[in-house]
Amino acid sequence: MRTARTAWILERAAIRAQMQYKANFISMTLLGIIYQASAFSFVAIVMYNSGVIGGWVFEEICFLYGLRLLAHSLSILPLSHLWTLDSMVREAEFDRYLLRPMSPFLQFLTSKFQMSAAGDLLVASIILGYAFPRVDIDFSPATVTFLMAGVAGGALVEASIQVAVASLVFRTLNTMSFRIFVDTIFNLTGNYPLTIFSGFVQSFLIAIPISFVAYFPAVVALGKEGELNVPLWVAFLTLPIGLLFSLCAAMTWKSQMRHYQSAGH
Amino acid sequence: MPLIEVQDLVKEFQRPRQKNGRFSAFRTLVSREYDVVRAVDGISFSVDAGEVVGYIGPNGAGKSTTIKLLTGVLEPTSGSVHVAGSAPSRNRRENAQRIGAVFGHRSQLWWDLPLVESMKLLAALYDVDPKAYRSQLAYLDQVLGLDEILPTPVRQLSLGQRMRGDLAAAFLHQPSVLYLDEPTIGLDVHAKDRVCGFIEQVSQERRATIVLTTHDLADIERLCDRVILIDRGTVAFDGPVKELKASYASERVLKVRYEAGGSDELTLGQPLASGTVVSAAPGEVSLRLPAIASAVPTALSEIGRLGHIVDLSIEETSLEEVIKQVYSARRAAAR
Ligand SMILES: Nc1ncnc2c1ncn2[C@@H]1O[C@H](COP(=O)(O)OP(=O)(O)O)[C@@H](O)[C@H]1O
Ligand SMILES: [Mg+2]
Repeated sequence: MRTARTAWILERAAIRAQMQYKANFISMTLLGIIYQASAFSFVAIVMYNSGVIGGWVFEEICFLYGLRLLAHSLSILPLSHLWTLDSMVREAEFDRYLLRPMSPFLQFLTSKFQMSAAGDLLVASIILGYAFPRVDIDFSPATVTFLMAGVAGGALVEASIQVAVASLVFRTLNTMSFRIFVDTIFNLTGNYPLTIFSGFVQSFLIAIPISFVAYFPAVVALGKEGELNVPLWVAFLTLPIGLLFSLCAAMTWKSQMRHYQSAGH
Repeated sequence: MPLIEVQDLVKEFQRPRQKNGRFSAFRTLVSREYDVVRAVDGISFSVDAGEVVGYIGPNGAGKSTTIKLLTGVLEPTSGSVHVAGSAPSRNRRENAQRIGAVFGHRSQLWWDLPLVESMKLLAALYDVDPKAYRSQLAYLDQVLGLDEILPTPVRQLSLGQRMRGDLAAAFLHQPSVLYLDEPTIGLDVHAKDRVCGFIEQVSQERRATIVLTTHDLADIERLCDRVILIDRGTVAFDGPVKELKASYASERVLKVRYEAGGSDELTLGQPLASGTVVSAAPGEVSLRLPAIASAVPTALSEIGRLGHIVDLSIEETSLEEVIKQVYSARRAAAR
């Protein structure tokens, strides 16, 4: 309890510190909007020409794309500064977290706050705002709860993988290429129906487990269970898998942190 | 029982051989090729509560690595560290409440926020209650002149001010042990004096145990009862500063001015009393003497025969000179 309060005090301080760089905040947000909007317009243009991909119409694709972008935005909201871990470890700034009576991960998490998720969040809301009234979904409390659990689980999956990959820095001192690799895989494959991929790629995407992030929740909500090549109950596992991945990420972080060597001086 | 106990401490760093080219990061990760650097090579010592210990040695001797092992930032490769009976790297949180650490090269303050915010955040982190916070802040203001810099964002502080901020931050939760790794590095005389004053005061008034590394031997002579001299990861000397000087500074230089009257000129290298002449001019002589009590009076009576003595001074070998001798003796022994 006290830990949560302290973490919140630290997070607020990080936000106050970030407030001093308003121009940076605005440009980061704009960058996010431009990046996500152009990625989406690529999909929109393809859809405009073909009408349907993998048996999904434009509105349904928007729904899937929006869910995935929402989960993505939420996953980077507290972790927007994950990339700074590399230099912190390399330059031994990480020492300080080992000198204080709080979990080093929590201290790192609350060390900075960058609003780079704002742009992504905005684009996700617009896409979902467009899709919600146009898809054939009865937004009952049960469906809404299911979707929220799906988004939360999806965010956890993505955040966990990013944290686990970032924690390799304690041994490699540089994880940039890994992180970009993971991010690219998610962006290239996470926003589309599984049905557009070949059988082998499908199994791969279920295994890593990108399909759980937005695709399975969307399939269930849209009533497209027919196209699943896994048992139906598997499609309900997004949140448990998110929690499981969080646990694995925590263990990875812990085991990697033991390799921390600080730096000379 | 000593507060800090270090036993056969060894720390090796593994430097993975960097791979170049495609997937270099991945290949570095899976590669098992390392260069091993032994930064601390079998160090043992213990420190009692309330001691102020100077931990000195040339660059790369392993000082900072030892401090990191003492604070629990690093885990020993072998051997052990115990502070108040527990191993710092295994009980980080418990240890953190007990210690404060300052690394002169690296501030631990919140860069973008006023110094006072760092203090408040640390109070939250260390669970310092509001009353203790106020009284400790008042104390730190009195010792370090904190009030004038509290409202300033840390990134705008001068190096000396920043160091005062870092010292205050390290001492806010009233730790019983302070580790200071080069807290005077790069500071001007005035700022240095302030840091030394702080160390003296918290040692005397709060009975803090202090382990201090520095390259400034004047700091050591002013502050430390005891020095541990390390060399390539091993202890070269451990004991009182006086003893170090006595055991190595076996000579001192006596400088005398006298009313030259007679024709007895002194020449360079000439033996005189129990020493030798190292410089001579009419009416002035410098004599290198063994550092024993009887040497000076005997020499003075000899010189007194040349003419009436006007003035004299005795130069002890400087600590720096002594340390040089320790190292060159060790190099010679190793050969
Ligand atoms: N994190 C590290 N990784 C690899 N080598 C290191 C690391 N830290 C220190 N060293 C090496 O260990 C030796 C001792 O370093 P250090 O303890 O910083 O010396 P000092 O503080 O006495 O100048 C040096 O050779 C240094 O290069
Ligand atoms: Mg050092």
